[in-house]
Amino acid sequence: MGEDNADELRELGEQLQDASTVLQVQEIRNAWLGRKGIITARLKGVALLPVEERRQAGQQWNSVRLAIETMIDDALARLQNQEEILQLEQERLDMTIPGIEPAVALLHPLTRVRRLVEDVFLRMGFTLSYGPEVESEWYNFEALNIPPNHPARDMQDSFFVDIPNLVLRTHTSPVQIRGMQAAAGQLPVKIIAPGRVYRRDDDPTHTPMFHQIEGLVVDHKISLADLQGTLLAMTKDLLGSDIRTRFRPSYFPFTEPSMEVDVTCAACNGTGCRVCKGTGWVEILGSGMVHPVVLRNGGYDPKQVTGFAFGLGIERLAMRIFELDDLRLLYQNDLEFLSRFSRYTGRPAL
Amino acid sequence: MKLSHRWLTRHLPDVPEPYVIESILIQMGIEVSAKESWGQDFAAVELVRVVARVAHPNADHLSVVTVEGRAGTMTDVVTGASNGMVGEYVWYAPPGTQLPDGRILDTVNMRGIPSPGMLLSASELGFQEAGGDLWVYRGDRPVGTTFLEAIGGVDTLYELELTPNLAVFDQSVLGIAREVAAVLGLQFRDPSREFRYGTDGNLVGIVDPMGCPVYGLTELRLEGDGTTPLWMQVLLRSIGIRLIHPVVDITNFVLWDIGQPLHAFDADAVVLPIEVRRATDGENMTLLDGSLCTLTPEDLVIADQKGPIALAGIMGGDRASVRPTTRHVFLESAYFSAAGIFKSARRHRIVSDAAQHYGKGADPSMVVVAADATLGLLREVSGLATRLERSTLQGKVPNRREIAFEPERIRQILGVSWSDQQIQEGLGRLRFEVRDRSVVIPWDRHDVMATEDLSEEVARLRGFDQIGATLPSTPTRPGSRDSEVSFHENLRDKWAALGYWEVVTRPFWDRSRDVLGLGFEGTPVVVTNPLREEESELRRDLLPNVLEVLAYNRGRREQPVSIFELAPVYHQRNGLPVEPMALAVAEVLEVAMQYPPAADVGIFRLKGALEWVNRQLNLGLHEDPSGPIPGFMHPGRSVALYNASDLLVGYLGEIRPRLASLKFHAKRIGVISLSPIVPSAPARGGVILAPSRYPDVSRDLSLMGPNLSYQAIIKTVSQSGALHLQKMRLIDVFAGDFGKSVTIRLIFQSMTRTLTDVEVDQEVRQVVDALKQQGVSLRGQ
Repeated sequence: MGEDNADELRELGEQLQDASTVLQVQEIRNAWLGRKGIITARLKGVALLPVEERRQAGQQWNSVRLAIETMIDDALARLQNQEEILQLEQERLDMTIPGIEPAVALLHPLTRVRRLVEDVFLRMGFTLSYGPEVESEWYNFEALNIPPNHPARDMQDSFFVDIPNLVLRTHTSPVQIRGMQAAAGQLPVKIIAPGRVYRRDDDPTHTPMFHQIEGLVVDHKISLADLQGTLLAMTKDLLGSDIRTRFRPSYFPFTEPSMEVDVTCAACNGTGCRVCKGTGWVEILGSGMVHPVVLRNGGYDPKQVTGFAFGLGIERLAMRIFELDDLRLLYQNDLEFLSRFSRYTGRPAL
Repeated sequence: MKLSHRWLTRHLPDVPEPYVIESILIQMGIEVSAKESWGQDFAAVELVRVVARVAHPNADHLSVVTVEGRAGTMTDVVTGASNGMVGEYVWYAPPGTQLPDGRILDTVNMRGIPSPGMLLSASELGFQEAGGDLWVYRGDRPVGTTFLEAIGGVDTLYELELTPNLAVFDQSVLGIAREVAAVLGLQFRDPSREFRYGTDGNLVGIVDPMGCPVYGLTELRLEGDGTTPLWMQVLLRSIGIRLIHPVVDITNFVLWDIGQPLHAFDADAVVLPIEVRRATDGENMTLLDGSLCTLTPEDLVIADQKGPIALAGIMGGDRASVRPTTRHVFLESAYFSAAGIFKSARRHRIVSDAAQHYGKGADPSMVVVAADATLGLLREVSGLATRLERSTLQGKVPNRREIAFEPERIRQILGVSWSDQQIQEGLGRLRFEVRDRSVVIPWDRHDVMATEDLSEEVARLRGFDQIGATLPSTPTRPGSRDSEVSFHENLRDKWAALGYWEVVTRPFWDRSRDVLGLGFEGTPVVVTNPLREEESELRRDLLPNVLEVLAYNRGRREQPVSIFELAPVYHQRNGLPVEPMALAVAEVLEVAMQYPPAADVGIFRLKGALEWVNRQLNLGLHEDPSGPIPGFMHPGRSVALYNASDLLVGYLGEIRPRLASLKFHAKRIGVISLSPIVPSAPARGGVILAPSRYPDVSRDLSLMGPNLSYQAIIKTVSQSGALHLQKMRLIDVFAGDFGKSVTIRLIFQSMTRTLTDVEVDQEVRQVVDALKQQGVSLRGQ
């Protein structure tokens, strides 16, 4: 054999060299090793040889076949590599194109702020409490020490409805009475009541519907100092520990003493600006010690227990947190505006 | 209320700097809503001496006046004034000066002679002065003095917001001065000189002593023509009170100075005696402002023998009002009960300074003090001689109220450890007299009824910041949201996570906004005093509000809109309001242009979202394409929604495209409306099975048939009895001239062994046979 084989292997080598695709190599493999291939025919020819030659020839052709297979496999691997490189190159994407983000939306900023406040008070052991929006005048006014013709009714211009003795509640304070009645004499009463309230106002800082969170604690020996401590804990929790707080006397018919709480203006950090009208302070809530009349209307004896209450405007707090100066934006629901709140991702509670 | 810092010095000679006053006001609970300086405009006006005066060469009634100003500067000014002779001192405003009426002076050519600025009359400066055109100065200030210096320099004005309780006693400079003195511990003496009324009892009779406990009347004759003292003019003008006539100016001044309203009648127009009585039904009168007022027996009036001459404590009548020519005056100083005045003023919708004071509560002890002060001030008016004639004081100043002194309770309410003495001392500074175990309340403190009120007084005097902060000592257990609220919050979270923005709308609504043609049943809750006609009832359906938001956003820009709201709707049932929660979702069904492009799944994203939420939150909803759908919905692309009790609770689908384009700026809009929204299915649980270890086999079937519905196919396939059918999935829907074809993929698997082809073929045949019985055939067969 010898020379003969060398020629054939050389020829195969040239064929493989010329092959430029995987398909061509597969054709070459068929031509050489297929059922009717050159080597297959040779191997079949071995069977026709005399017995004494058969063994040697068989071994020889088998080793040739192995060599051929190796050559073809190598060629195949080389071409597959080349083709893969080509393919990868063709598949190249502009990876600077931004990914398609999942279309996740946001809760309304008022919902986010409401939950933030709720969570602060839930941690302090308050329970959520609710009342109707179309409320009786008794719960909304009389029970809260606001009889008809009381000057305080001037402070809250009410919406009336076509059902006698009902109004759209002007504050969440009626839930104080409902909460005390539900507690039925048990102590402590410790509730917060978030909800929608209504007043006949419409300007950049007032909308006819807005949201409040009412808080109420009734127990033995609750004091104004307890109220201040609770509100300080809240403002620090909500607005950060470097916030400064100021307590001022105020007036609400259903609390006595009454107190308003100011915090340093976020826009100017307390130095005075347009947002805070130059005062450096922004009012965030009204509060006070529960008026004896209110305690009695809730079924508690003011000689035995005292309590404090506060009412926080969620819009006002949202304006403080997000530094907004027009409340009405919150009700326009412009998606361009709402989507901007996605930047508030640093505070998990928001 | 406007407060002048300068005015405070009348009661507090050593008044602290304006910024100190401001912080004291805030400490006492008086909100300072604005602060400004006043008088700067007068800094340019200069006192000059007339050194020469010649007739204008080109005009008979004009003169050219040479004046000497600061540092000997000489200026020629043309004037038409008849006074301002050589040697007289007058006020000169150079070019650039802004006058109170808004004019800015310039150099003008007066008939050929340039005239820089102007020599001024009193009225051009906004003041009153009798006689002459120019305001001739008769004081002893030197040439060059500015008008601002002459009136005492720049003043600071505060705009105060008084809460109703403070309005009771702080609506005067005296009230504020008392507060300041109390905080600073200054010696302070209330004005206490009392006018000694005469005994002419036949002038006045009080018929309603409850409405009017004290009434004083003084008869005055005025002679001559005076003007209000300049210092008073300055104070009144600084707080924005118009100058009218010395008598009126002085009563206005006393009102704001000590808080006691006074009223002057033209005595010649009064037919004595005067009665303080309730009006009779239907009685009417013309008020000072010209309005006709129809009275009821609830109104208190001051009446003479011809009828009412004043709506008591609120506004005088026109008939006996003081006019510039009036020289015979009845001066009223009285005390009316607050409740009656408040109600009357409210009923007649009159906002007057008197009603603002009486309506909150006045001080009966000030009746005689105010009368004295007024007469004293009238005597200060130069050129006007005041002669006192008859006078009378009817009624009696009521006793001051007393309440128990409970220092321990004050300490407990405030949470402080202040001593009895500290508390007593604090109360004393605010004029509360502690006698043994009781506290005597000052006459004007109608707001103080109980120990709670006294606690506030002590606290605000010492400062709320002095109280300290503690936490309630009640044991704290963390609170939690109840299951209903948690459900609502969860629902919001899910929709937001699914890519739907939460919106918050107001529940006001009106039929005029019903572009969908909702055609409501039942009764709405109607708002009887809406802000706007289109907000005259409370919504019964949330979807229109949400669609308005969608339209608003589409109107602003072409953008994808996917929004939802979870909020109450309002119905009236048996005369009572109910407020069930509703969910509304709206989405513009269009594929945003983007790269790489997104698949257009139409309404099926919204549908899938609801189906997912339905499972996640056990809403228990099921859909029915043939259920009732509102007329504005696409009949072929909507389903009715039922809860687990088969109650119709809403619908999902597309709005009719023509309506959508017309009203909401989008061709395809998918919506969901659900109410009430509550979980109606029990929570699911159960054992989680391990997956089979054996391979699954899938077979695809292309089906055809009349009115092919996927829901029907599922039902048939799942009831076909194919034992090892694990899952079924829709993989294609294709419509052509042959009809509609649906391709489903069936997946078979056993938990215990590998299925053979023969077994799977057998089960597929079962499925196909079941489908054939329903008229569904395999495509191509």
